[in-house]
Amino acid sequence: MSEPVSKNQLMAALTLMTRYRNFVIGAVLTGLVIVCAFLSAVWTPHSAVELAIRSRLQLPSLEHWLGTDHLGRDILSMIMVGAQNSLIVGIVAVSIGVFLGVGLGLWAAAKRGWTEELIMRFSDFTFAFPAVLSAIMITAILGPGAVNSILAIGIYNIPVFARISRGAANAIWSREYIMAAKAAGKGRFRITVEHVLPNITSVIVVQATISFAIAILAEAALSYLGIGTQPPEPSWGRMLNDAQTYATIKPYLAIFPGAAIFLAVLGLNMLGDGLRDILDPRLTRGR
Amino acid sequence: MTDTQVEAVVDDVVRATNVVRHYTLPRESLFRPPAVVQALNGVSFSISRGRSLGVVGESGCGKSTLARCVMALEPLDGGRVEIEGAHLEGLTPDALRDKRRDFQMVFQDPFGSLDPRQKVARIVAEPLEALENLGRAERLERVAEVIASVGLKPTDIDKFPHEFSGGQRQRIAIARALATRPTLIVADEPVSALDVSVQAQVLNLLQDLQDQFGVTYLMISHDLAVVEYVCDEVAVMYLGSIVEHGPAVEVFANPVHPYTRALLEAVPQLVPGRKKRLRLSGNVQSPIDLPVGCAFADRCPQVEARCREGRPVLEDVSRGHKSACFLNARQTT
Repeated sequence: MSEPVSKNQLMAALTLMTRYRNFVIGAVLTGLVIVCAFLSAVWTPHSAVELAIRSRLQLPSLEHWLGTDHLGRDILSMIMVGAQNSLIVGIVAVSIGVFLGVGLGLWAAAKRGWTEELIMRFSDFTFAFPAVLSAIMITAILGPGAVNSILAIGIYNIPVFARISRGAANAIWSREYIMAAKAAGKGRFRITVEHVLPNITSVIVVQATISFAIAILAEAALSYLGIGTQPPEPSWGRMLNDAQTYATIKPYLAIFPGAAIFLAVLGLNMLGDGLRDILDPRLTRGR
Repeated sequence: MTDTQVEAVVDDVVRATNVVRHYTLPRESLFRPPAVVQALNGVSFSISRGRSLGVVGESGCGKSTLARCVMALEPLDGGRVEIEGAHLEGLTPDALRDKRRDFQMVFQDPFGSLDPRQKVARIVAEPLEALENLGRAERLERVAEVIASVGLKPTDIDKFPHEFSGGQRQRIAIARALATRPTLIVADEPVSALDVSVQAQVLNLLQDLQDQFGVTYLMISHDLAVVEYVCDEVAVMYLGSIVEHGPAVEVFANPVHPYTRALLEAVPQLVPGRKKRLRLSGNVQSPIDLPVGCAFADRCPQVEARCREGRPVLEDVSRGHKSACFLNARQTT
């Protein structure tokens, strides 16, 4: 008796998985990055920072699954520790963007008038520069380093979230239940906290996942350019930079960290798309 | 307009005097002044305790604006609204908030007026949270009380709005409006979004609640039948002004203003072709740049030259029955 039931449940699970294919693939890839990051904190196959010149530039083998770089460091270990780095950059940079950006966006939507105009025009100004370019500008001012690159990416994220939350909040403010809340004696602040914010969370969550991917990409770019994470701290972008010199003779050096960036960004983007499908079905129907 | 006919001390819950509301449209040209929509052009009325006034008119005549102005959800550009003896526009924001427990609102769209992310208990408790200083237990008790009085089940308070039908949602909205035990409820098209079969239930509920709690209603509707069914008095609006006002029975039986007559004639008859209908030609005058004379002059079948020169004011035709038309014998240019 229990057999068909569990079979049905399996089928149902499969159907759900195919329906939310993006979400599932995205979650698996993102999960992989997270597992790598946590695992590397306690265990890596080899040390990611110790040099072993004698075993430099080795091809992938049982000892070194993904080979070693020009200083003999284990690539797999470096990628695992690099995941930590990417994750921290993503989390902190997106948090800066979410807290300040959403705050500004909600404020703009609640106040309207000059406040909104000022906040939004300022966002437009910052928005006019591509992510990496503005990050380079900010690190140029603050100086290179992991912390500064996180700040730079975070600052870039503020207008992104300000815009999206203000747009979504404006749509909510025009709903009749907001009018009802006003008639019930609620002020702008309470309406924002109790009605507007809960109704725009799905939009923010989706944007946060996508911004996370952009942050990882931006951090890799900054490190690649040498103004992000500084050696010996392993980072995916830094590894690409190192690999560049040997690209013609040892192409796998670039392929593995490149693949790590690609999979992490792809995973987060798919997760974002999947979340959008799940949280806001109206958006998918329109496409 | 003077308040000469104040009949001793009438116990009015709400009194609106010469309410004016204009909207300035965005400028179309730098060199012309921006267009102004005259949504309300000096509207006056009062409702005595426990009675109900229905405001009818075509869409765009300003009736919903009137509802929002009475609710102090919109600023007035002139005139005053007095509820339970307090001039709303003279109150500080805190005092106004406090006063709101006396007047609550039921909105048109029961799908839009309830936050989809809140459960019924929270929705109904919203005015209590903001306006009354009650403990959690008392609040829940009050919620249960009003939920019961609008005919919903006690278990319904843990559900989300999307689990209800339109009629039930409107009951939730009514429960919310009742929660602070207000003396005035402004209902803006409370049944127009509902199925006809459900409309009567909700209207009956509104009447029962009036009998039970003695609430006063200001009901906005485009549906004459709704107003006739529920309201003691009716005010007919045309382009931001009340053109006729009086006891519902009297106005429906004996309309004096040409616009009211046309409106009543427009109600579909069960026996078709019996009566020659009075049809209005032309469109509603745009509320932007109203003419000098009577706003209805362009469509009025009985228009005269003086109608385009001066604007008739609302004056008694018979006791309690007022009309703003020059055809009204007492009206002078």
